[in-house]
Amino acid sequence: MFAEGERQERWLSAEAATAAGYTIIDLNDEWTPFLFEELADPAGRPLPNRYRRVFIGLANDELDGDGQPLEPGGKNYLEVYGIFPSLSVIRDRFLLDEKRTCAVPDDQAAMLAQKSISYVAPPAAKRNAAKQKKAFAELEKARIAANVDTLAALATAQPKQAAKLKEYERWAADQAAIAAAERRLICEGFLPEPEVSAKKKGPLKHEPLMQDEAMRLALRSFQQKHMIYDGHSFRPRTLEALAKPTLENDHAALVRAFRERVIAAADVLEDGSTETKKGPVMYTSASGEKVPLRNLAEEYTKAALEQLGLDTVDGALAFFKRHDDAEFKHLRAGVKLGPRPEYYAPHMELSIVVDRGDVWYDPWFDDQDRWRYPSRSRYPSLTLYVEYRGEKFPLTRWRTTIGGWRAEQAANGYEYYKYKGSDTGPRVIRKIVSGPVWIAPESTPIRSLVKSKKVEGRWQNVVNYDELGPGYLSAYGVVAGYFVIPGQGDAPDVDRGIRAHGSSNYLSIYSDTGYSHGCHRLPNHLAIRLYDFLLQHRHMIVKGDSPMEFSRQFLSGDQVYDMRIPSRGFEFELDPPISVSVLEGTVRGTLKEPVEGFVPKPGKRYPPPPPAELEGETTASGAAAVDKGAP
Amino acid sequence: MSEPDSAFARALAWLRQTWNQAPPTLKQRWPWFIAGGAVLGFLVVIATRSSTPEGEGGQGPTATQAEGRAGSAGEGDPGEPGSAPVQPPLDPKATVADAGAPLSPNVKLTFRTFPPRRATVHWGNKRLGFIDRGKPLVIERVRDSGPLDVVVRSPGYLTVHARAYTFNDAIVDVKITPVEKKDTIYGYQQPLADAGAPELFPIAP
Repeated sequence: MFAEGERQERWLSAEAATAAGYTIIDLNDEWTPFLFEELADPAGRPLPNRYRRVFIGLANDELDGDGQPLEPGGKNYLEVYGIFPSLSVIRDRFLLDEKRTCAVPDDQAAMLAQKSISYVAPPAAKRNAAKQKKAFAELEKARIAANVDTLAALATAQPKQAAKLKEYERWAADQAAIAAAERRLICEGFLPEPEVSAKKKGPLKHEPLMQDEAMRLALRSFQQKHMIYDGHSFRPRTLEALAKPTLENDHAALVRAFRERVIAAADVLEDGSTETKKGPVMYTSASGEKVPLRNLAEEYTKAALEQLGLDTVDGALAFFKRHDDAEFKHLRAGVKLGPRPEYYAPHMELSIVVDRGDVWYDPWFDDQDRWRYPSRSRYPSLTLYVEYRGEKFPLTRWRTTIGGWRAEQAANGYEYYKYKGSDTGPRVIRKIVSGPVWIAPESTPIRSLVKSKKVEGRWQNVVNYDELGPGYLSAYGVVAGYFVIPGQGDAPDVDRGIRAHGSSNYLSIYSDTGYSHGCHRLPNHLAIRLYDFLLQHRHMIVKGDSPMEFSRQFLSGDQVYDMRIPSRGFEFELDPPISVSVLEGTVRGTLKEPVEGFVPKPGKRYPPPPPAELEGETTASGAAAVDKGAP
Repeated sequence: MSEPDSAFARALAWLRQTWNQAPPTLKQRWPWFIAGGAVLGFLVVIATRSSTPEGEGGQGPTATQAEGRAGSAGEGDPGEPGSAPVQPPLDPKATVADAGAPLSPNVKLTFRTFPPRRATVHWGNKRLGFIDRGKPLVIERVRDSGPLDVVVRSPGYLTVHARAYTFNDAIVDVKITPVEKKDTIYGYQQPLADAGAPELFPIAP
């Protein structure tokens, strides 16, 4: 245990630090959010969480998603999935990158000169390269004939050449940026050296300047390492990160990982997401003053970083040189943070509102089978409110998802489209599950339930447990809150299968065309923050692991897959439950009610007769059997 | 003389009479007969033990209890084809962590097929072993070391991909289906009636 004040480290006991008003930030490599902490029942018996070991192993680059040892040198870049690297992993990055900047000034300039680079498939890119080289030769020929020194002078002298020159220059700038990005990705180990790449075969072979599969995978890894929510191509934020020195990116990773620990240590949530152009939300204090809502996540993170000397690249590097890996087995730091706002209490009057935003029931294709994605100006949001002294105001407001048209498998083995809605009205969250398991209903397309995996040296097909969980790729993410209609009197709650849960599919949350099967998705790290906060500020009961017996077989190809789920996850119960209101939103388009039943996919052939509904399948309004909700 | 004494006297008289009527060979070589009887009894005990499933791999008490629980769930004699249920339930107790008791470092995983047939169990490139009629395959793994994705193959049956978890001792009952009955498994795609003629349904809305 050590505490630091004004950048001076000194060792203190935890008791002394707490008594002196320090907030203790856990820097331990085995840190987890509260949801995955080691908990016990009232009698003191431990309540093991099946996913805790995997969570820690993933954060430390030691285990894969199944909890099996990672291949030597393997890396988990899982920040976009809510699992931040441990401080030892970040320390290793700092010490490695101190020796390699991977940032060449000319390359940085080439990448920053481009806002983004359009994706061009390799065959088209090769044709365009030949065309531009030919154009350049023609321009050079014209320049010599015109007896001018530069192509720019040629364009001035012969305006009809200007368009050709402009197109060539745009292409050449793109090529320079791609070449620079390639060098950066090779330096960081995301792409192999050209001579190694030349010997590869198949999709992992990279051809210079081509946006091929190898490049796509390299960009994806780079984006995941740096928590960039983007398509896997040269988008603005990706180019910006590629142009930064490696240590700067490492420092940004440290700040992100540290922020989650500060938020957890201080038990706060406010992150500025409720601010509008008019400024922060205002609330009335006990003294009657109007007080702005603080962005506690940033305020506390900044204060903690400054006090520990971690607010600069050099300071962080010095910190990691002072403290070796072994220290991160037990290290905690005391920092002084400002007092929390007066509306904080052990049990806060919290509630959630989900606004569905713009809602379209119309199919995404017309009667001519032409695709027509609905456009939305208002996206769905999930807002956490607190009520304080009779005033209700929002603490956070995040983008989320609602249901839409999804592919569903019918009993005849064929896939159709079906409207998977998010039902509306008052609900409650009584149950929160960390490391939840999603039991795929029988209507889940079989193709999504099988994946290929390297098992004991051999690639083999397996049930896609990534999708089922527990895990960061699970359809329910790493944590889920179950929306239910509270039972009246002695009647049980009614579960219509809708959850607000974490999700690895961040593009479905942030893209224009992203929809769920009815649930309200959040990026995993925000879902963790939300449910950690609810559990810390509401009366709750730790129920522990929820074992179950579930098995089902299905056929894919000529082989049988045996799906087995031994646990629903680790349960917490909110007592009393937290109220949730799902607002109707604005229904747009021609149809004002959701379509019931299956709709054939455009251009696909089906056997008669039309299929019936399947067991466990959600209705158009999102109803589903218990535990077979719609992610 | 008391009653017990009379009985004892009668028993001694019966033994004396039997010995006198015994064949001369038995009278001469009685130690060999006693030793032979002891060896025969020992062999009978060994044979009886090895014919029970818990003899395989020398499982401890936990595995034996797990077998007993699964059996009591109505599975019948594993050696009798057709007596097993179509979809045997998982044993929830086999998957619940016992938070109160100290946990052993290893877990035992028991693989069986339903109906009981000879089958091989592969884990990637590695063949874990055979399941035989009435003889499950039992392996040990380090507790909580991640799941095992195995492939179970039995001649005449569809290959099954199954998973065994390592949180606790577990029995993995794998239902196997004859190749000719694959249309009974969910996900079987019925063939199109007429491959040549397009038979599109109208779009509902």
